[in-house]
Amino acid sequence: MKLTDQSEIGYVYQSQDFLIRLNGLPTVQINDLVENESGGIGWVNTLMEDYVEVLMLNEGQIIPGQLFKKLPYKLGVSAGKFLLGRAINPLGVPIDGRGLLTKTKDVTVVNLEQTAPGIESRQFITKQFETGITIIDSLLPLGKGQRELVLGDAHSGKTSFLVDLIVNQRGKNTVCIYASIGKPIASVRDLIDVLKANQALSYTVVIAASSTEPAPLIFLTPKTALALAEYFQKQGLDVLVILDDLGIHAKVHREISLLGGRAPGRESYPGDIFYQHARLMERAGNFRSEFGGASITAIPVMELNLTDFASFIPTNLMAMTDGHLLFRSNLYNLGQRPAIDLSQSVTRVGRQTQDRISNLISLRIRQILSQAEELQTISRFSAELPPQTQLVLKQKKMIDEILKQASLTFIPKHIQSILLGLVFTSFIKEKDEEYFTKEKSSLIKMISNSPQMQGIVQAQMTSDNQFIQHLEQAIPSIINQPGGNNP
Amino acid sequence: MPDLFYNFIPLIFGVLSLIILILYLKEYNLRKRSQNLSDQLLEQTQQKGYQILHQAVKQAQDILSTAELEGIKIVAGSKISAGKLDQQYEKKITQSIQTSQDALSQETQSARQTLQAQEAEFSKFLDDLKKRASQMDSQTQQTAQQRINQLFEQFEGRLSNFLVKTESQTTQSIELELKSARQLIDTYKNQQLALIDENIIAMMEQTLSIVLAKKLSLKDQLDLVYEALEKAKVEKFIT
Amino acid sequence: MNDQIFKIILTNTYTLAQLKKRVRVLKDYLISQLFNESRPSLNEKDLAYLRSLEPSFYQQFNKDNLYPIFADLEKRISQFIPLYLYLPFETDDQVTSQIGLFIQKTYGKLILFDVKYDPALIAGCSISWQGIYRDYSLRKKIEDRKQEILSILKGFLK
Repeated sequence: MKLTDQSEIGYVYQSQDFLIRLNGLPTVQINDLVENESGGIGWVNTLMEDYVEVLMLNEGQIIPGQLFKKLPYKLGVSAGKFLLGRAINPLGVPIDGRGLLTKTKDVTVVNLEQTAPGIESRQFITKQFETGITIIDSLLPLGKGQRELVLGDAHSGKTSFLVDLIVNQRGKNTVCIYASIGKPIASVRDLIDVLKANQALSYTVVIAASSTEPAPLIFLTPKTALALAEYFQKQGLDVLVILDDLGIHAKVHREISLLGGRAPGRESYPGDIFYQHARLMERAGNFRSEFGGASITAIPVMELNLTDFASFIPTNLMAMTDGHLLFRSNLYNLGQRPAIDLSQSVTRVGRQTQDRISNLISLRIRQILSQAEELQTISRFSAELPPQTQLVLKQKKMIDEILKQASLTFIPKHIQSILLGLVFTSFIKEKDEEYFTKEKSSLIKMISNSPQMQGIVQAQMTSDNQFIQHLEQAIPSIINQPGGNNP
Repeated sequence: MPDLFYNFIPLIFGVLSLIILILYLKEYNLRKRSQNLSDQLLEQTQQKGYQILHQAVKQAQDILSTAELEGIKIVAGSKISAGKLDQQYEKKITQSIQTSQDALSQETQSARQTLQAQEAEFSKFLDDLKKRASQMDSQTQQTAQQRINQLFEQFEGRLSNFLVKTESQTTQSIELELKSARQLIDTYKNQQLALIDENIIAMMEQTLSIVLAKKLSLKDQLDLVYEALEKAKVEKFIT
Repeated sequence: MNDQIFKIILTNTYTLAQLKKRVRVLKDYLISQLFNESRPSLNEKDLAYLRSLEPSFYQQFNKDNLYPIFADLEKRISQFIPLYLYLPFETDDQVTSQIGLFIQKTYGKLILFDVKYDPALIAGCSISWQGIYRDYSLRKKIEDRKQEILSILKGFLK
């Protein structure tokens, strides 16, 4: 540390773990950085009348009386295309062991803490965010710029779903930012390996602060993720931000606040926990062309304890997002992939972005599913069911099979509609759900090879009945294909 | 009982031989009657056969005599015609030998003539060929020479062009390289110089601190401190 | 009354460390005097200080007001923001009092200071006041005139 002729300084008068209090620093502001002689960097977090509270971002010994100098820049991270394919910590230091970042001249430093863009910069969400996952794209559609909470038990397939989201963005000119908040280092490394193996790393930035790192650094991870997302959005690139997970973030914030002597509130969380999360979520959205024009789609993740989503942090997050996907470990154990509970999941923005046919088909599918739910209870008591009921139950079984999708697979949207549409055609009389279990991939191939099916996709149809009629006519074209006739 | 049987044997034999005798006699009579009949038939056929043979011999003699006559006639005729034929044949042969001999001599003569003509022609042709070959040779030599010369000229021209071009290119690239290298060196030099400057200053500071610590008296030091404090007051730093 | 006591203590006291020390010594002494406790072992410097105070000063204290007075004094001390003086040489009491006198003379008011040793300054001093640091040392001057010095040095080399 070199003191210039005039610099602002402060002396440590109290230190507790990563939290230190300094005297002096008369003109310091929140989010300023201070540095000591041994290179320890602190982040100014709170200003009190007679002292300044600073959170240390790296480890090192702090002695009372130690001199801290104010740095001329605020908490920020240098952004640029060079970050793609890299893993960094929240301060922009590479952690993937691939050497320094290859910075070019056009490096911009973005401040981590920024006020979310106002209403004048935003526009209606009109484009669908394609995930290539049938249950999402057809039944719980997401829009570009939506904030969708992913809730779920431990071991319910959340992480593999998130990986699918990233991998399926390949070739869609989307930048993916994955923020790993306080997760073990090993899981971060696994994630990077999986992304690399699926050629998804080239458009992904991984920001990770592992569980062993100082709490303030973990706390900053989602801020860095959103700051970078805003940078890429201003370059006109659609961004997908995954914050995994905000439950840990809340706990870290609680730790910091309790150490700083804030009054604990519900579940000992500080009073500003809602503010902290809402402020993050607010930075996502779909922006007008004067403000970069692209969108930031945010996927916060929250791990639940025993599927209890009625506790404090999950309800907070539900309140500040545009819907949520509920993952259940019991569904996962039943073999449903992704293990999303359809009846408990919500999407508030996505439906307006869906095309008309998918929307109508999805409505019908949901009707069938809810009908079947009711009928299933009745069917347990009677041996002989009316044919209409049998049909509904069979349709439900087929739908369940169609919605199952192995991880790391991509099904284009139009094929999803056709697959779901087949449930309402005579196809159901010829095949059963077993057929879908075994022959789904070849069926998808047949559909994409059939010119008649392609014609249906391209034709502009206005009603689902018309769509289904056309499908009915096209069925022979897929059944009579070689390899297609094996019921 | 056997005694009885033995007693009757001569009797049985006698009966049996009597029966056989009777049967024999009967058969003998039958045979004698049939032989008489066949003797008569044989005599008749012999007579008829003699008649037929007689007639046949007579007729054969007739035929033979006419045949002899005819034969004599034919032999006489054939002798005359054979002599005529001989003569004709001889004549014809001599004629044909003559003609063939003539033809052969003629042929050989003409053949010799044509051969000679052909020989002459061939030699002429050879000469012509030789001449042409030599002509061709010289021509090709000339053209080849020309071509080679042309090629050489072209090659030379191109080579020189290429050389000039590459030279300019290389000089350009070398210049560029040099420029960048120079820039690199310059930046490095500047960095190093800056470092050296820094070091010089550091060294100077060090020496100064050692020297001044010894040379400056406490009073001088204090004077400097007082000066600084006064300056701070003037700058309104400490109020 | 406390103001008066504080004023007396502050005369000839220039650094915060000195002030704290003196208050502590005085307190120990008075406790031993008033409550007949064993006298703490004091070194010459402290004794000299105690002796320099007037007897009338000591008479202001009694068993009842001793603790409240010192509590008040300690509170006042904690409110002081010292002037930090970085010096390239080591000081003794005499030097600190000289500097203290000079500061009082120059600024015309009571400013307590703390001395920190920083040999890298070469000569002069640097000052830190209310969280602002300013360098008035020779090192700073050399930094400022670096180019000048270097050109002169290079002139020598040539």
